[in-house]
Amino acid sequence: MLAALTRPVGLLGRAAIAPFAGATAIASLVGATATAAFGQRPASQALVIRETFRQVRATGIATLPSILQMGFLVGLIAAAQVISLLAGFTGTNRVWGILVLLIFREVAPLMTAIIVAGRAGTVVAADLANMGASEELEALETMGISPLHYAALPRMVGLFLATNALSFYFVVAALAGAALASRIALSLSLGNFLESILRSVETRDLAIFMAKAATFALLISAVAVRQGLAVKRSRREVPLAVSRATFQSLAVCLIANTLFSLLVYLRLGHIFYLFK
Amino acid sequence: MSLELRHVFFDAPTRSLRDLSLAVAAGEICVVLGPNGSGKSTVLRLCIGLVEPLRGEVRLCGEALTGSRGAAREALRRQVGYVFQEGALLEGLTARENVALPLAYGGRLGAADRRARVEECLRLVGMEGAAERYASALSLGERKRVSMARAIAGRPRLLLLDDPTAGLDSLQSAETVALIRTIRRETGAAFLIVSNDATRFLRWANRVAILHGGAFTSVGEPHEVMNSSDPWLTEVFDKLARAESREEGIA
Repeated sequence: MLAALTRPVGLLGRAAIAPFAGATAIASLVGATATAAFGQRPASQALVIRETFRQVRATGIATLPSILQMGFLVGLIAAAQVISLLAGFTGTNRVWGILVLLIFREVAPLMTAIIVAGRAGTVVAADLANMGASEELEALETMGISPLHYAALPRMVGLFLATNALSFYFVVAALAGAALASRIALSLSLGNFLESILRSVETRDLAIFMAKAATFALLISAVAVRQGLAVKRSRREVPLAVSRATFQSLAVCLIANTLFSLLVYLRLGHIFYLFK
Repeated sequence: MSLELRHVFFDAPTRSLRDLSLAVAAGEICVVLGPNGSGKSTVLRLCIGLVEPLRGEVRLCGEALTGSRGAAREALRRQVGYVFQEGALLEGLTARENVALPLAYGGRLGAADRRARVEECLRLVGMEGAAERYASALSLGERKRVSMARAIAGRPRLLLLDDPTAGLDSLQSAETVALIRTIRRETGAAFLIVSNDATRFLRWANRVAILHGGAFTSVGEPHEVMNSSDPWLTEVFDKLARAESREEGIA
């Protein structure tokens, strides 16, 4: 009877601490991979650098067309909505400010994270999972080679670099879409559009954009590598690992985005102060 | 001793091994024979530390592998070459790059010496003509050969071979056995080979161990083991004799 009552509480407790355990595991993997980067022979470092560039090509360049396409469309839609809602009330100057806030602060980092998690994170997770299933990772271990150095490090760094670059390209494409919308709706020339945008961009917006892009990039690459490395000698685990990598990447990016919003925009520190 | 298992116990949901003791001296060939699913591959995995024993100790080249960690364990493993049943080559690399990989991480060879060593190993296993082919484009027999070249590249003192003739036809199996003997002659390394092919390996091993029911049922020189009336070995020879007489009858 008592067990029946306590069991749901236990389940609830485990579910509550699961995200923290996951966060600890991700942090631990990032730390161990970073540590594995040091103390290796130059020949092996050259291999890892070459593999990192290959990963940037395999994940970044392969995802670029999707990023440009989505960025352009999202920028066009966002600009059309902002112009139609605000241009009549506040004048065009406010329109650019809001558009910049929307694209730099929220849309670009989050949309890039979603696309990368689905398109490139899955590639990394599947790649590592297949290496685990075909005993390649164990073969590395038997040769005295750290799988974290040879397999995880280039994929983590490659995906991290690619995601940051893709966030930048997303902004460029989104601004191109917004420029088209402003041309159609306001007959604004490209020069005037760019001038208005540059006037509205603040250093703070850029800093937030870069911090978010880097955080999401780190989270997606770490989650993809973690899920890929979890597969041991069974091909049946590969699709499950890929699915887990996608879902967890999106979940952790959304959680991180929420924390950013609470800390930066809602000034969570002030909220704590109120409860004192 | 190149390898020592001292009263090793292992327990996993699918496999349980108990009180395994075995010693392989330098330059010696030891063969572990047993039926499918008896845990032969697990014995090899214990020897290289891919799985940990529940109790007991594994020693490689005089040093304890059990309990070692990090760089010390990696250095110990570099003294051993391991050949997986399916080769376990890195799919994204060519045969040459696969063989060069352990040399990039271990040893003190310069770039030119590394290249020369890779060519030497590929030539020894007869794969110099396929050096630029990707691992994914190689047949099982070729993968095993490249895997052997990779295993010997770092001049190991001990080679662990997981069922080297599995999945090969009789000609390829005979060639593989000849290749193992050539490698032994060239390198002087000790071998631990696990297989269920009793007839092929019994003749020329220095030491044989029969793994059956989770424990070594017989350990000794080939003639000792063959005369020990080990139940599994007796069964294997009985079945072979029956199969041969049936074949003769059909002929």
